[in-house]
Amino acid sequence: MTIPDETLAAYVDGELEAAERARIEQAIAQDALLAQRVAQQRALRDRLRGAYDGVLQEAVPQRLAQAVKRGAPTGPAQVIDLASVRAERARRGNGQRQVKLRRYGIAASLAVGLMAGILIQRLAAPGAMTEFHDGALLARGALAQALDEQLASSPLPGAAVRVGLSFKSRAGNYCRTFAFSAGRSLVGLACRDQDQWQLLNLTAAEGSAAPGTTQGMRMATSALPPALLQAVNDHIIGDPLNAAAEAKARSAGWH
Amino acid sequence: MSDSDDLLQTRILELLPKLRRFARSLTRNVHDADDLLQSALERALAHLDQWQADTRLDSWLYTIVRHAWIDELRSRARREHTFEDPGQAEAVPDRRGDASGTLAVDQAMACLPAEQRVAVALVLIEGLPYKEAAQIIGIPMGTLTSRLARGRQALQQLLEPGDSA
Repeated sequence: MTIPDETLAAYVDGELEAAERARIEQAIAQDALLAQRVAQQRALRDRLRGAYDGVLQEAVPQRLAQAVKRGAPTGPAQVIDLASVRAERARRGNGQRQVKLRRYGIAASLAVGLMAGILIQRLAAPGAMTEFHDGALLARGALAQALDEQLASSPLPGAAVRVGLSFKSRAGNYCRTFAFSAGRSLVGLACRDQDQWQLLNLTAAEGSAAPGTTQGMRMATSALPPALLQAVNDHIIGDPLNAAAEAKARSAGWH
Repeated sequence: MSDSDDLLQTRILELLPKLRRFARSLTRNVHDADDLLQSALERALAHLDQWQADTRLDSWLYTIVRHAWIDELRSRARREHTFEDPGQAEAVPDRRGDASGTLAVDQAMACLPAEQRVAVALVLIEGLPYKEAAQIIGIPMGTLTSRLARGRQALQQLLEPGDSA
């Protein structure tokens, strides 16, 4: 009996009706060559499946789960991609955006204050990294020093604080993201306020320490926790500073 | 967002491992696959209302991933100024194998024209029925079975060059 490849494939794929399946099985029992063709088809299917099944065991990256959860307006961060946010902003002007910011802004700043207070109390970091002053959370100690001096383009190995992305804010001052580890990993955003760095965001990072600052590269936006990314999105104007602009801003004392 | 949308999100979260596997079989590279899936998820979440409750949620999501991938191939083709129809072929197959010329499965998959690859991925890897796969791709059953046949034949030859029928 001649059986076309497509029929054999359909048999292996479980697509044949019972009667047809029985006919094929009978033919296989009587024809070694046919049995071999079926085995070959089955082996291909198993091999393909085997090559990709490992993916099912992998941990799903956080950013994918977040892309799903962001569908809910209750989620903390609505937007992830800097470029698309800027494009969107440019397209529709600022009206809607400000409404949105008002909606999230109050909750967000409360959250930062609360979170920061709780986290900082738990830190017991060597030398205080922060201090509340007139209602603002300011960088102190090693954090202030890193924000003043460190270049993301040439990080110090073993530094307690690592600086990620630097940019000019909509208010015209410089802002920098940072990460440090003290019991747990924290990331945040600080903006220059006169001669101080004011923390606008402080977030517990998921996973390993100092996200986005590995290999001295500027932070990949996808590596930032959504709350921090939202804070960056809210303040950034233009593109993040490149290495040359970062060095220049430092030598100008971040003014 | 209503309770039913919350439920829908939970169901989508549960499907993420399978969707990642599908994306991986299309793009080969881990990061490209996750980027692809992320942009597909963003599309899906923005159009949740378009999913019909009496249809399979996984199929709807596979459809969106496939669309996102085809779009990506098209824009890549535009960037590279080629006029190849991405539905028929994808540039730069990696044909290195081991000494005997045998390719790893992912390399072999990357050699398949895009639409054969989708058919193979949906049926052989994701294990979907023909009918469902044909609907996802938007083609008649006959077209699906012939794409599958050609895809299988090519894979057989790539994976076992000396042993093909």
